Amino acid sequence: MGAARPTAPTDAARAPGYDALASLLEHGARGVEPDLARLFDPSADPGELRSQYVAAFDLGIPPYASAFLEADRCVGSAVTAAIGDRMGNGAGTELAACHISAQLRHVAGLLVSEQSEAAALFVHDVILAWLPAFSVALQEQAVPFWRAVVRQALDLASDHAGATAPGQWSAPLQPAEVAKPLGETSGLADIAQWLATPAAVGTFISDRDVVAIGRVLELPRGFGSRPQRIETLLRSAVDYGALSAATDGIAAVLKRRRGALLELSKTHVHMGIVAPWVQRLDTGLEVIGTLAEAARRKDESSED
Amino acid sequence: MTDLASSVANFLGSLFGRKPEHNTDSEEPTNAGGQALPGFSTAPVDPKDLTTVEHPDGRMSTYPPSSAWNDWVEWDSKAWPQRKARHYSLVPTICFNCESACGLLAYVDKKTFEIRKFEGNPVHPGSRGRNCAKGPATHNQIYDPERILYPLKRVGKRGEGKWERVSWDDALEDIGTRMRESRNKRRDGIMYHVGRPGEDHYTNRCITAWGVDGHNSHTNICSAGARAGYAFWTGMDRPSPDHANARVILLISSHLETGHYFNPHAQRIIEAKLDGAKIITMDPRLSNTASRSDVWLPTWPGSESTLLLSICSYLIRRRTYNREFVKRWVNWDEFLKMAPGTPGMPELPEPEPGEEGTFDYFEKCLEAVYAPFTFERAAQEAQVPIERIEESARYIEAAGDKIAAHTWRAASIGNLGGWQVSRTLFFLNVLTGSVGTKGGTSMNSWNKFVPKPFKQPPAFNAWNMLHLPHEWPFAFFEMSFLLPHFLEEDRGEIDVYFTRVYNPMWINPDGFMWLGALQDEQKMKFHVALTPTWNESAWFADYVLPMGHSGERHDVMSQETHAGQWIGFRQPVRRVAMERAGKKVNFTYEANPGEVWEEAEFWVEVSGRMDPDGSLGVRQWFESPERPGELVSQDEYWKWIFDHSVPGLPKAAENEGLDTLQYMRKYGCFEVKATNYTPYEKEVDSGGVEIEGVRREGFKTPSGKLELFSPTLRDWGWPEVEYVLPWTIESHVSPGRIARDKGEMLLLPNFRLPTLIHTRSANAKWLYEISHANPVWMHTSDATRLGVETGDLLRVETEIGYFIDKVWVTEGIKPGVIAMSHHLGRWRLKDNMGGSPGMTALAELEDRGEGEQALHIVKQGSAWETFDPDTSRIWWKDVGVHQNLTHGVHPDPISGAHCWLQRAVSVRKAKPGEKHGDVVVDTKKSMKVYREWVAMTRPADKHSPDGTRRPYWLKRPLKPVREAYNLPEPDGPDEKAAQ
Repeated sequence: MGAARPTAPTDAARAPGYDALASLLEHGARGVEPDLARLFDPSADPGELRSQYVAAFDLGIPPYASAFLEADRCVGSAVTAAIGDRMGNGAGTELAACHISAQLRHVAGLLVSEQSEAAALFVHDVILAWLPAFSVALQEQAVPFWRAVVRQALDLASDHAGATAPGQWSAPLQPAEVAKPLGETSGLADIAQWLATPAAVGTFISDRDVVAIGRVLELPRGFGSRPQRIETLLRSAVDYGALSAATDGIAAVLKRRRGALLELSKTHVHMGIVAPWVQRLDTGLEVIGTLAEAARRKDESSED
Repeated sequence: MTDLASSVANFLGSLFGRKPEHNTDSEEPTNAGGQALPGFSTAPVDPKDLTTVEHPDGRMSTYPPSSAWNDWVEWDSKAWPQRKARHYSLVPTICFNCESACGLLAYVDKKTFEIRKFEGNPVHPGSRGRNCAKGPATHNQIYDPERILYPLKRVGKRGEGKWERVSWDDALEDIGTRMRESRNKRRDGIMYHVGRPGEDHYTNRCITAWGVDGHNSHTNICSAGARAGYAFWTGMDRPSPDHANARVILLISSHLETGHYFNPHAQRIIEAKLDGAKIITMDPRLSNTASRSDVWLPTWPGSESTLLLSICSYLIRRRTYNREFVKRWVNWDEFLKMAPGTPGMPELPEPEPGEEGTFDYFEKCLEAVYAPFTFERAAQEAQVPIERIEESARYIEAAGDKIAAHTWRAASIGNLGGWQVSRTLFFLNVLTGSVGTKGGTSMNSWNKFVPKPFKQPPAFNAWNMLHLPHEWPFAFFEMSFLLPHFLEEDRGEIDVYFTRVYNPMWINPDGFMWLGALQDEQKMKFHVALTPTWNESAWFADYVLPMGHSGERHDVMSQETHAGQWIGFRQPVRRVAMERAGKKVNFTYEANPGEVWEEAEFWVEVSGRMDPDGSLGVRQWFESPERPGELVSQDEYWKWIFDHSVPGLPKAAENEGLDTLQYMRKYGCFEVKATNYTPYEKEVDSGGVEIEGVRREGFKTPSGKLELFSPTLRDWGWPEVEYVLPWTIESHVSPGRIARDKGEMLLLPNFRLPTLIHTRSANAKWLYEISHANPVWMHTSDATRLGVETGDLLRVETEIGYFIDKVWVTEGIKPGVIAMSHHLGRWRLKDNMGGSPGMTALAELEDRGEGEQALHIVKQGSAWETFDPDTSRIWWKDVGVHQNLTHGVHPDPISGAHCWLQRAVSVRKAKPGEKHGDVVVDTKKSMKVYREWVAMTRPADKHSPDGTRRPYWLKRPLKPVREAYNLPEPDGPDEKAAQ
């Protein structure tokens, strides 16, 4: 006898789902409820999960919409305010409105108070505006538990919003427009800042990504902030004649993320949601290509 | 989509019945004393503008203007996005984590008197508003959830971990009574064992007042080697480089510039570098400093003096040294009289007619004596490219008298004969005339200001043979790290042993010998641990008395951060803020968390209990100058000093309408001299030394000059050339003594991290997040040979035992050398007491019999639940390995320094069953190693030229009366100590 086919989830069922995910993503660093944790990993060790949480979000990819949508990547500016306005004071949390937990908790609250349409609209316009890009970047981090949690949040949100069908929703929040760093006076620091900005390059290039590229090419990555480490990677690549290889490494990251987003457009969200991110990844590849071309020209001229 | 819907439905199904959680507020946090953390109300005052300060290197930073320190307002960051103002009393103090005494500003909430944060004090002349990570982390230490908050008395066996809380009154009475009983019997029964003092005179005055030879420092495991080398030249024992104005900065390792004096020195080194100075660093390890140097010389440990002498020889040979300075200030005339016939001396040239006794002849001799030190020899011994040595020599040759040079621990404390490293380093300063010049290297006493208290007790008449036994007449200073070995040999016993912010069992080599000593109630009869935090040694104490961190205590301190003089005032900031608000505080423990006290008040009170009726003659030194018969208060003590002993301070205070104490409480520091160059040239009426017909201040050596040739060493039984002159001594870990073909390696176990300070920082969560493990650095070629990769467990065997640690494979270490930081590897014996679970490992001690001891790690670092949510966010497990347990003691026969470098007799990949952190030691081997090194000494009772124990001109932290220097009668009791 085969397993019973699952029935479509109802709003009443979704509410605890959002709430559980919000709870995990908010309290992860201070400890995860064992029952919740076992949904994702039956053998989950609380200490290990805390450690993974720090690696995933504190040291890895910040779970804030602003980090993805803002040109300055800062929490507390326009995106935070815009989301906060939409949420009112209903989140029941002290987290900034652009934090993933605040948003998931907000949807749970809307569903509990039977505001189904508002909930679905918020999911589509706010959460899905950045969650796919966040999830895709996180999937390459060595944090399996939290990868699964965020992926489940994406599953839930896209299923809830019926997001594979475009046209019935208002426009989601959009990543900021950021000019390409290819002006006359642009230097490696400008390019590094730009590459560190998801709204510009279409994905979050994490410290782990930078370290991985540097390790393969045996290039120093230095210390400091993420833009600083990207800059150090590029600068040392110039110093050691490995700029082409470094740009190839960055391009590979962008291509993988682009492919992953296009895959999501087949299973989770309509193309209109991922299109801004794919377009920015294409721009990122263009900038990286320009940098690589400059490196090749320099190499050729030095050979002359 | 079917798969997606299925996944979602399964997830939701598993959550069936769970209710949404909306209120996520957690419990209100409390501070270390269990009190609610600050709550703040909205205030109607807007924040003021910050003052922008431009630093000498061109950078700018902003600070609250001092005019607003009594009522500083900032937005409450936790209330964001609401704009709530908080009012603070900004109280200056000085850091207590290393010896730099950098200025801090405590932000004390005016409503709750809780400390919100520590930032830099912009008016502090040494640190100039800047701090390293350790300064702000003082906040962690104060609000440490594992803090000792009340006096504790042992109720079980020593080390059993059973304690009862007692009152300060009871503790004072018990301790004071035992001190009195000891003092009635003898003058060497009370021992005060101190780590870095963090203050300049107060406790030494107390010990002197007790009339005992009671000062026991940690200097022999720290700076003894460097001190000895500088002292034989100058009579002063510490250098003070003027980094900011140097053309060449020459560093032996990165110890100070990335560790000890990190903040004040690093900022000045960067200023010089921006101004074009060259930095040369000798270090087998690619430290942060080395990586930013113009020349990195990865010398084989112990070869530094050869390399330095090769540069000296180069300057002498080319006559590019500062001939006039050497002629004027070096005791070359004594060299000419005493050098002929010196064992091992290269053949001296015959003088031309009329040349005998002249400087020209000395110059020829100098060239001949140092001719064997060539670049080729240096390159071979140091195993560095000759081009790098030549490049360094050219930089030094071009720098004139602007060479700022520094060594402190590193090679000087690492090697047998390490004291010659600082001596040969300073030889370069002497040859270039960069002694006390702008951009040169001064002596610390020129740049450190130590005020005088209101009444100074007379020197004591005693000599504690557990401090300075006959074997080491030149020791800098007390042979404290050998205390357990001395006790094992029945050389003495201790009535009252104070460990003061010090953890001898953990920080000293051969820790299991310390364990035995601390457990021995017959020889170490009574142990009082004065400590701000739990430590391994305090666990074996009879009393554990909580003492304050920076911001919780009074001290006065100065440090030779640059070519000037200043004085800093450490303050209990909550007490000061409370007093500013009109609240009366009698003792500092009333203002600190729990009943955490400060030593300054503790010593006064315990001394009063030691001599309640004044019959011992002790009490008089602790009585108020203002209120006869009553014990002195802190306000009285410090105000007298500021009124009478700090030039310029009374005037500066008057200009602001303040008294001197108010001024120091307001600013926390005072600049005594902005610059102080070449003070030895100062003309004097008496004393000093006559130079070309004029009497000048000179140096503190017997000759008053810089002593190239040391008559003292010659006369005390060390006449060979490698002792009487700056020379090279073969290290105990020279290439010839490390059988690399048999798998032996050199263990460099004592490099510093800029973020930690041994015992003091093991309760600072921010610092431990930055650095918490001490893996073994190993070169890639050695790793390939041993078949290990980064993260693999390694078994390192020393002369007396072994430890298991992870390996870190890197190109940044010299092949054949392995290295470990010595800040980490803390442990505790109970899960819920004795240390922070995130910073210490839970361990078990095992006595295997026949002298074999083991330490097993039961649980590595972990998160734990407290009022501080951060303790549950500890994400690391590896908290390091306690390697010092496996180090045999290596007392240098001259300086008495523990020569830290170890011969690793076997290094291999760990086998199954060998666990990370495990340590095993055979203490029978400990004593064997100890005796081998003792055998190298030339004791005073056999070699003293004048029947004394030690040259009187050499420094001691506390000098007894001259009479106490006399050696006791052979085979008779030590009369002096028995008085």
